[in-house]
Amino acid sequence: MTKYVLKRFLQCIPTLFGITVISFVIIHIAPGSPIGMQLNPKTSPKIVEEMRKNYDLDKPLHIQYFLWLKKLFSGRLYSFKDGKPVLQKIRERLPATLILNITSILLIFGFAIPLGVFSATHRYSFLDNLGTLLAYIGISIPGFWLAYILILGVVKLSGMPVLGMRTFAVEGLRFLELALDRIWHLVLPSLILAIGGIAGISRYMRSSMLEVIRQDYIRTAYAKGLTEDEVYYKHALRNALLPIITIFGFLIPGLIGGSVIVETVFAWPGIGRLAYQSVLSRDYPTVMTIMTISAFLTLFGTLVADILYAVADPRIRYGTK
Amino acid sequence: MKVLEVRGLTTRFYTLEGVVKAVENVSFEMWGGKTLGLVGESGCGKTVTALSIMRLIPQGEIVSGNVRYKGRELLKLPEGEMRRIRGGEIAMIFQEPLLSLNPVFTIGNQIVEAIVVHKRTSRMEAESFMIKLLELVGIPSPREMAGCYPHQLSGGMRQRVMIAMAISTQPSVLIADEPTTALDVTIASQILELMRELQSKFKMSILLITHDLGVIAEMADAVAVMYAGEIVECAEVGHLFKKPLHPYTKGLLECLPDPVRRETYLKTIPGHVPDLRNLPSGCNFQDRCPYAIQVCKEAKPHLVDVGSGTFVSCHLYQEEL
Ligand SMILES: Nc1ncnc2c1ncn2[C@@H]1O[C@H](COP(=O)(O)OP(=O)(O)O)[C@@H](O)[C@H]1O
Ligand SMILES: [Mg+2]
Repeated sequence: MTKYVLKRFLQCIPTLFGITVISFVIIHIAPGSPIGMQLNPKTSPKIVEEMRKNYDLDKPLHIQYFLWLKKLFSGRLYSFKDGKPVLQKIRERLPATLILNITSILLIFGFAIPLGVFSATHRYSFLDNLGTLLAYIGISIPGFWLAYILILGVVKLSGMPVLGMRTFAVEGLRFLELALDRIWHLVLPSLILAIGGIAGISRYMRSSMLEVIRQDYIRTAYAKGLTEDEVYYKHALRNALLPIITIFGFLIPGLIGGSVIVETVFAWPGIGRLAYQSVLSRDYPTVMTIMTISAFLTLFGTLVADILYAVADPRIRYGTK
Repeated sequence: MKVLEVRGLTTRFYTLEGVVKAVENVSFEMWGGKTLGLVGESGCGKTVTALSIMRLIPQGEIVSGNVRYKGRELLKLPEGEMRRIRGGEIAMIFQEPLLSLNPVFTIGNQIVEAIVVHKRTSRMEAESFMIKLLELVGIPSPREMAGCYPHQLSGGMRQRVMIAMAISTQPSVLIADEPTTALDVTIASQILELMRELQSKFKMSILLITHDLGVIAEMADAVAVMYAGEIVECAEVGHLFKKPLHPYTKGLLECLPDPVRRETYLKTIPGHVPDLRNLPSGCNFQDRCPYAIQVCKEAKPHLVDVGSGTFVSCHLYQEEL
């Protein structure tokens, strides 16, 4: 097992390397340049040339790539935009993004699994059909559009601010009120981020459960004299959850992409918004580093899913092959 | 003592392609400590008969009939009491021991579960009883094997586990649905031997379902021959093999390989089993019957007593009444 994990981990390295190379090329091919974003058109060519040199933009692309890699690992990578160390910028934004995404993951699994099981055990009932309809809507609706609609609706109805991580310019709050304010601000963005996942995974859970219920060992469980609930929630659920574990790995890219949109719409001070702003200002070092971290997280998620699967399913034991 | 009496059992499935008359007016009885063989080609309704006795027909309907177990009418029992019968009084083992055991629980765990559903014992007691059961069904080093998952065992061992689970509550009736069909010949005869041993030890009645007349000859006291959802002949095993009455039974016996004559090809009954969704009027066997007469096309034959405990459903014998 340890050997398998180590092997899988090492296999990730070339993949990660490939992703960074492709990202690097795409970013540099994309129109616009960091300097054009900062200076006005009347700036003398001499100053422009100096700045290009400063940012290594005068060097060939592959040299630039290795310089980026070197600076990243030595911690001397600075943003084009404000000259701050990139890693520090990311570290500042990381907690907000983590809170948002972990909440979304909890919402996704917390809602999707019970919903899927309910739909499966009440197949073709009114609520199951309603669930199917809502799931299709949830999967196909654009997140940013739903976000704007909800922001408008909630602000109109409650009159409470929903943007950002907390309410500004309110003094003298006690701890509990402060916590509630934070939670309030978390509700909408995490829900928007989670909706696609809830819709998709609840359907997946439903079909997985229906598949398991047809198996012979479910008949055995009934023949033992177990109640329907014991059969569903002990024998069937455990088996139906196995394929859901694999999904966990695929969830992460969706969440990262979703974070960029949701954080931008909700003025959430996280990495997604930083990524969006950095792309707009062609802040190559920051964009590249965020891309690398995202790729790493995605690969890591798949790896974790694989390991969890091996732990949960006794039939899978990674041999010494 | 008469343990189980089935009268006029009729079970149907309502599908988009029509009504499947899987079990039609089936009657038989089972006596204490004896084995009744239920024999017939695959698809003739043997499994559905067994599952109807257990009332485990979720997709279909038990339309009519009586299943009397020790004087109690099972088809009218409240679900809660029926659960006590399932596994407690009537236990069942199946054709595919791998598919019939839950892949994500250890075999020890699954046997303990069967014990604690029906007996008020501590977990500790149930576990030591489980080890005893594994020993009883001939599983080597039961303590280690108890921690194994089904996929780690051989087919024969898995069926032994199923048997251990079934006898854990000392049921009066054991329904064995093709228990040896999926096993090698030598393993199969070991399993049959084990069932015989346990039967004399616990005085169980066994309903042995099979399509193999060899197994019937070896194990059964009485036989019921099933064809297209109906019982066509029911007799003591000696009578049936010596003097089969129903043309279908005769055909089946002629299909058995004869070790003395060593024919170069095996005989088969010409024609096909009728579609259970679209049965002919008159006798179900008319198209394949070498003795068919006009009345066979017009009227359904009924099971009649022809003496010495033999019942047959065929117009050839009804005329004599
Ligand atoms: N859930 C079901 N829905 C529709 N038809 C069924 C269902 N289960 C069994 N049947 C039909 O009932 C008939 C008898 O099946 P079964 O009892 O399994 O036969 P066997 O004698 O091989 O055990 C078959 O024709 C089968 O197609
Ligand atoms: Mg069958």
